[in-house]
Order: sequence, then structure tokens, then C-alpha cells
Amino acid sequence: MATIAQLKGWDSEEVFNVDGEILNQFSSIKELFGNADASNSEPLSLPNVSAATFQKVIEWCKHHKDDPSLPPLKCNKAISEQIKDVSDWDREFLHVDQKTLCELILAAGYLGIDGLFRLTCKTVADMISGTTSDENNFQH
Amino acid sequence: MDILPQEIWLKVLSYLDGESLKSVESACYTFSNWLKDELFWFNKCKAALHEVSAYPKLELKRNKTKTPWRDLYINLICPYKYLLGYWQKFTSSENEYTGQLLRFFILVDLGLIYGQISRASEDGYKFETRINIHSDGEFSSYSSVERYPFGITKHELLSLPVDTVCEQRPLDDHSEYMKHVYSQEVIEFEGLATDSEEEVSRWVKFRSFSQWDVDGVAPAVYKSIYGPHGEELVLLHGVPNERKLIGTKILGDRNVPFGKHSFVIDLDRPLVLNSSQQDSCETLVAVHAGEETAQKTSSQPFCVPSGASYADQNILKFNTCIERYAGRGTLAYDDYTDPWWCDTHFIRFDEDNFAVHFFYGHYLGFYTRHRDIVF
Repeated sequence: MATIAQLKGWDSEEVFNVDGEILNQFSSIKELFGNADASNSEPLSLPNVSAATFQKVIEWCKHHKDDPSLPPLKCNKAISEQIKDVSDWDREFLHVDQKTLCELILAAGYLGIDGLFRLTCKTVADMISGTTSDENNFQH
Repeated sequence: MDILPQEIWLKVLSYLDGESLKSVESACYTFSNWLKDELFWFNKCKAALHEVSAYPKLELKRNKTKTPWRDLYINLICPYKYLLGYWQKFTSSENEYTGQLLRFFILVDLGLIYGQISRASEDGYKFETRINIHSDGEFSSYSSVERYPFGITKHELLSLPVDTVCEQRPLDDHSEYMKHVYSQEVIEFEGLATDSEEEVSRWVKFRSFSQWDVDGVAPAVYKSIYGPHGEELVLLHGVPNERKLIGTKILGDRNVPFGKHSFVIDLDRPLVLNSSQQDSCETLVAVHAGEETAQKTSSQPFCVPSGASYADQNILKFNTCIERYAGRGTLAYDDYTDPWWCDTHFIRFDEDNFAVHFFYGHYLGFYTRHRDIVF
């Protein structure tokens, strides 16, 4: 699919070419691009996302581009039911240090990637749960 | 802490259960301050209650003197939510006829989980057992007959065996469907609602049977006043791959005990009757014998035929019904001796009310949807 947006992180000049399938998952910024031809416009800098994090985000979006769109979280359904079991790929993907994980949460929240946002929040929650107050080892 | 903003932290924390949240509160001053947010706990309570069943809407605004949402969640909803809903008494005794249904529900305003068993005893006396679990940890149980505590303790309740598979005693020709019900979670009480204090009673979670839908009719529980036996509860449900509706007794009586099929309705035998055809029981039988089945059933007049008896006056409120089908009903002597089928008509008045006309003895049973029991 053709590139329709050019984006870059705040900390680097590296430009990421994003196609429509990926861009569609960025629910909070996809509207900015519409049907514009990206080839002759300036790359857009994302103020809250570093290049390294954005690289990871794109990797996740590529792997999940065929996922059915998530229904909005409903109160009348168990959260545990709505979050499917974390797949092996996701577990491997999120096998990162805590700083990276937090940056992924922020990026997912900022870009409006619902699936990644829920997954990362759940991951942090899993790190906290099952520990006692003495051994709560999530470095906050 | 600073690497994520507060609203994202609260999002993360909302994925935790009660025990973990308690740890988090004591581990970190900032977290424990954030967790003073009533809305956070309200949402936790709401999500947890919706998880177990379609609970009525909760209101965030409550009397300030009542239990805080946090205590309600941590002390009551989180550890005990598996109890909420209906439990049916499992029995291996052939001498037990009525069956019993135990209902646990939460009284949010009082900060209380309340377990209630109502049953009609053999002599028609209504017997009620209550179990109270308070959010401050207090625990009590008593019966309406004698207010003595049962041999059940809070500790036992928490260490109940789960996922034990039970075999129900053999039923009639549809036994396989009942067996399914009994392969769910099981709880046991010592001396609860049994005649002997030492006896252990076993209760099985009463669950949704979505595969029992027929033509989009979800299974539902209906109740009926049945003269001398007191209240009768019937689960109206379908059968996989068959065009039938079955009324299975949840609370039975000496003749047709619980777990048996009270009636079986054949959806391939729709009927349309005019008023004169239901004039008396004789004409109704003649119509029935003539196998005058219609192509499909529709809204039609209804009246109680002369010669028929009924226990519930509410049946007189209806002069039209939306559908009528032929079927068969179970009759038996005391102790379910020599059960046999008799012809019946199933008459549905609206979504919540239907009647079953048993041709033997011409008794009209009137059933009303039990709105409290939802799946």
C-alpha cells in the first residue's frame, strides 16, 4: 500500500513512511491526513513519541493490522473477557525494560491505538499484581 | 511514578484485583492518595457486578454514611462475587421432591451480601434461610423457623471446592441436558436448609444455557402458584436441534419433582382456535383430537373453557393470546410413581405470561416470568 503519511519522532530526523493500513490504527491523528498526497509534504513531527518508540509502535501495528477492530470497553462485560489472552508474539514484543514500556503506553495513548494501549496497561498491571507491598518491584 | 501521568496510572490500576490494590495502597503514598477517588472504586464495583450478571444500575451518589465503594469492592464484591446469582440444591436422595434454589444477591446500600433460600416444606409452610455477609467481615446465617446459626463459617465459604463435577441421578428421556447443569461449580454447606444439622448440602451454580435458545427465545424462569404445593418454578428452554420448548421444574412437588420435565411443547404443532372452540373442555378436546393444526399460530382469542380449573386468578385478565401450540405434560402419582404424558396446550399471552392447559383433569397452570432470575 502506498505511503500516505510521513512521520518522525521528536528526537530524530529519521522519517517513517506510514501506509494507510497502519495510519488507520492511529485513531487520534489519522484524520489529519485525509487523502492528501504525502510525497510532497513535510514530514510531521510527533511531539510526544521518540523515534525508537515509534519504530516499536509501527512494528506492533504491522503485526496487528488484520485484527478486528476492538469494540469499545463496556461496563457490562468483564474486562478480563474483553482482553484476550496475551499472545506469544505480544509477550515477546513487550519483553522490554520498564522505561520503554512506559513510553509505549504514552505513545499508544497519544496516537489513539486502543489495542496497544489496553495491552500495555494490562502488562503493567500484571507486573504489579501478585506482589506484596514489600516486594512491589515496579520502579515508579 | 513520574514517567506516567496520573490518569494513565489509574487506567493501569483499574486492571488489578482487590488484593493487589490493597498492596498498592500500602506500598506507595501517592497511589494511596489517588485511590481515594470514589469514581475509581465505583467503576470497579460496577465492572465486577456486571461480570457476574446483569445487575441493576448502580448509582454513584449514595448516602455518605453507608459503606464506601472501596470497602464494598475489597471486602465484599471481590472475594464473594462468585457467589452472586442462583444455586440449585444438588440431591442424590430420591426422597427430596421440591428442590431448592439459593439466591445470593448484594444489597449495595447496606454493604451486605445476602443469601436466601425459600422453599415450601411438605406441609406447605414457607421456610426461609438467610446468610448475611457484611463488608466489615461479620458473618451470620439463620432460618426463619429456628434462629439458630448453621454450621457454616466464613472460612469454609472461602475455601469451597470449585469445579467439582457432579453426576445427577438419572432423569427421564432428556437426562443429558440436566447433566450439563450439574457439571458447573459446586459449593457445600454444612447443615444449611437440611433437616439434620450434620448433613452437608451441596449446591450447584445455576447458569445460562445459551445453546438452549430456540428461535431466539432465551431460556427464562417462570413461576406459578400451584395450589397445595406452593410456588413452582419452571425453566422454559429449548433443546438443541429440535423445535421444542421444555418446561423443566426447578422447584417441584411430590408428583413431579424438580429436574423433571413438566411439559414439552411441540413448535411444529401450531394452533389457531376461535372462541367457540374453547367454549368448554369437551369442544377443546374434540378440536385437539381432530388434529386441526394450523400452518402457523398467531394472535387469537382466549378464554378459560368451562369445566377447567385454575389456581391463579390472573389468568382471567387475558382474552387474547399471541400463540398457541400443542404439546404434552407430565403427570404422576405421589413420589413420581408411574409418570405418564397427557396432552397439553401451551398458550402464550405476552413476553412474560403463559399458561399450560393439562387435558388430564383440565387444569390450567398460569406462569409469570421471574424477572429476578436473569442470565
